[in-house]
Amino acid sequence: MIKKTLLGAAFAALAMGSFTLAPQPAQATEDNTLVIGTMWESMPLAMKPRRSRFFNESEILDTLVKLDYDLKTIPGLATEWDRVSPTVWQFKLRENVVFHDGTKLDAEAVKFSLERVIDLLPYAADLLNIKSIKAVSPLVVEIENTEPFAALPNQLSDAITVVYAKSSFDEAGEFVKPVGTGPWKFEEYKKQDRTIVTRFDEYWGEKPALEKVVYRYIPDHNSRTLALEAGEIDFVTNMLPSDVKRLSEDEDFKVYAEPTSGLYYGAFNAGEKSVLSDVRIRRAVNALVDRDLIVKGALDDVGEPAWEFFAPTFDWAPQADEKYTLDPELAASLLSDAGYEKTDGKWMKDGEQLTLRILSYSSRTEMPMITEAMAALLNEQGIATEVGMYTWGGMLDLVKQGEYDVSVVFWTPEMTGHPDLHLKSQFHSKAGLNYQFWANAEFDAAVDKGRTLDPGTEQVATYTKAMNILHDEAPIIPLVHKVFVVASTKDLKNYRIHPSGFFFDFKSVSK
Amino acid sequence: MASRVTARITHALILLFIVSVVGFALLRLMPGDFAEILLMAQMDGTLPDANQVARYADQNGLNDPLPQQYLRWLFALLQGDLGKSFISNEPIISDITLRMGQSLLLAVLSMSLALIIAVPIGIVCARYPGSRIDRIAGMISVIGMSIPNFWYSLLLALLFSLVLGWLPTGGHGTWAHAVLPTLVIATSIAGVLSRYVRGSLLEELSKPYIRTAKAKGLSRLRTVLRHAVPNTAPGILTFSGMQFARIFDGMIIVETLFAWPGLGRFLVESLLNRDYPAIQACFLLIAGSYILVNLIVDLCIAFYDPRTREIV
Repeated sequence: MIKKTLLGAAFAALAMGSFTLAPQPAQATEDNTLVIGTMWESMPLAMKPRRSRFFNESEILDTLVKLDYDLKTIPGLATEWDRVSPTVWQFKLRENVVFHDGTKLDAEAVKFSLERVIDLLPYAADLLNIKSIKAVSPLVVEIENTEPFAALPNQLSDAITVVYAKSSFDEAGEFVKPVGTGPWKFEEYKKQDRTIVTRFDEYWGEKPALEKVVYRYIPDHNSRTLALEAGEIDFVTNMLPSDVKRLSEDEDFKVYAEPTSGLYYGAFNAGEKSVLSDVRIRRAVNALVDRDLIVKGALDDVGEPAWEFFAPTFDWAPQADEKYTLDPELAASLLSDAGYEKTDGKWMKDGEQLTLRILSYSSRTEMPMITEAMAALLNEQGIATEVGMYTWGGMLDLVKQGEYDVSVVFWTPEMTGHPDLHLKSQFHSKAGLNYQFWANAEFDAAVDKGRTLDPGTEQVATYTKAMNILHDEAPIIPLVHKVFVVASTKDLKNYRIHPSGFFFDFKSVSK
Repeated sequence: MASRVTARITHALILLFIVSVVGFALLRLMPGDFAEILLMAQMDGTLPDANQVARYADQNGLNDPLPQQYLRWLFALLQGDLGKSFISNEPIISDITLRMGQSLLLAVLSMSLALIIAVPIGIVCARYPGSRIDRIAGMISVIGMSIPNFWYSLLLALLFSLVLGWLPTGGHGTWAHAVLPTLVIATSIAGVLSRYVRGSLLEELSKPYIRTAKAKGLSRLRTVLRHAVPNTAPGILTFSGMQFARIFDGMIIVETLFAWPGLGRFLVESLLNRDYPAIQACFLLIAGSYILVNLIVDLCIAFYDPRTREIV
């Protein structure tokens, strides 16, 4: 008897605690609300390099400088900027901009925010290269760099440089919640469920057509697309390639696909623990992998074959004079030079087959497929492979110890609309993220110089030189340029994919 | 009796203590510098310099002897402070409360449904072994056990959400959200459970006292319900307890498919994100829930079956 009563009480307590809300009908998104299904949780209450992209992506916060649909700089919170001396930039702020908490945006507020960002996110210091920030007048901010720095306006378009109101932080300077100047105001965050933003009526630019955007977290790739089909959400990101094909044939849905910033590439270990310390083998590998086949076979054509580091879609991005091509004969002569001999279809030296240890991580949808495809293509050409899939952190541990030959990764090299960001942070011999043990003094010099130069022939020539070295020295094998795919209900209007890959731009969207 | 219960609870607490020590030690005995690993996890994988590591270790008392660190961690834990998540920057206790509640809810609902389905089927099958009904039930049980959850979940979602439009595809918060995950988990448990009930009941039915009961003139149904079932109940209870605890950490696929914020997925996410404070909390909680469920089951059996009071 006691048992029954206890059990009954437990049930009643559970029922009261969890089911107080009325059931939601399966079909329900309101007319003035846009509901989006996302693969990762938005985490609006954490300010992290990766996570704070959400603030920019969802436009709760604005950057000083923004990027247009060609990834060229356009005014954001700053309307114009000038280089008053080689190391000093002045940014003129937009007038009459208010934060969501009602306070005004001025030079002091920008100074406070940037200093806070640099303090809380170590990565920002490298990115912005700032010596000091001064508010010279209420609407003019002066930034002094440690060296001549032409890339600053572009770097200030990076999501981590968004401008926070003072009330985003507590007394101790710790981040609390995002209060910004963007068209959308942070409203509510339900852990593991959704983040809600609402229209900010005092926004300085084009006012959003809708009243509310709900970012719903649906981790499973199948379930997320299913939620769109069931009418629970209006918009879905990160679909499986097979769903892309199916939905584009369905009249009830629109599928959007555009090349965006983002490259899958194999980073070679050029250090002494790897056979790839020999540049001839690095170039041979580049000539042996058919990128067209990877895109067709592994990605159902959702992606662009990559034969160069920067995607050719962006005309501002510097290119090397030559691209890689599929050229088994060139590869054969390079490998022969390096002392390998092809017997029984295998590249052998001293009785052992040329073998590559390939590492990658599986949390990104396409990563395992691309890695496996590359390994299979190398096998077919007589190079043996040992593929290991890890978590990002697990892979990084091995990479840092130099216990690998190729690590397949994803980066967004065009994100700030300037070549500096990734050339400097990935391939410079002093870069914190260069775990490839690749060092080239000429490349370092070109990249160090490039960031100091204004756009013009000298800048183009400098970066072309850097790209030529990158091509000839081949510390990487570019594999696939990312194509960003989303789908929506057929009633959604005016959506357009922004090529940075980190910016939704829902202001003009209506339904 | 009371002293034996106290002893049993003491054993459980000792076990919990051991688990907490092991959990604490596991993370700290990993290869590499613990301070550097922690700091790196918070900096999205960028390598911190030696000064930063030294400062961080100093600020967080990571240079103290391990027993001292453990005691500090334990005292914080006893005050409900599990630290802050590296990823969400919120106290882990708030994550854990949500996850634990949702897992518990799913566990109670699925276990109840599984018992409601499995026990009667098991009894009927044991009563008529080898009959057509037994064979059909056996077949269905095997299907229930072996059907892959990820596939079955999607099929249910297709039917109830897309075709019929009755239930949401995922999420949590209302009773409608709980229906599909409960159904999926209950089915897989009911399959195993009904086989277990049938097996243990058949074994019981072959014992001499059943023959006596028959000889006494009891009907077969009464024999089964009044004598055999009560005698197999402790075994079934123990088995159910194990299944119940499994729902806390073993339902990652169902939780992911239905976007249900359970403890299992939290553990996996924390592992993938290297969110060390969260991993430690999960470890403690999952081990704790196994210990607790076992304790409750044992105590229930002791109340129920006087013979086992001695061994409890």
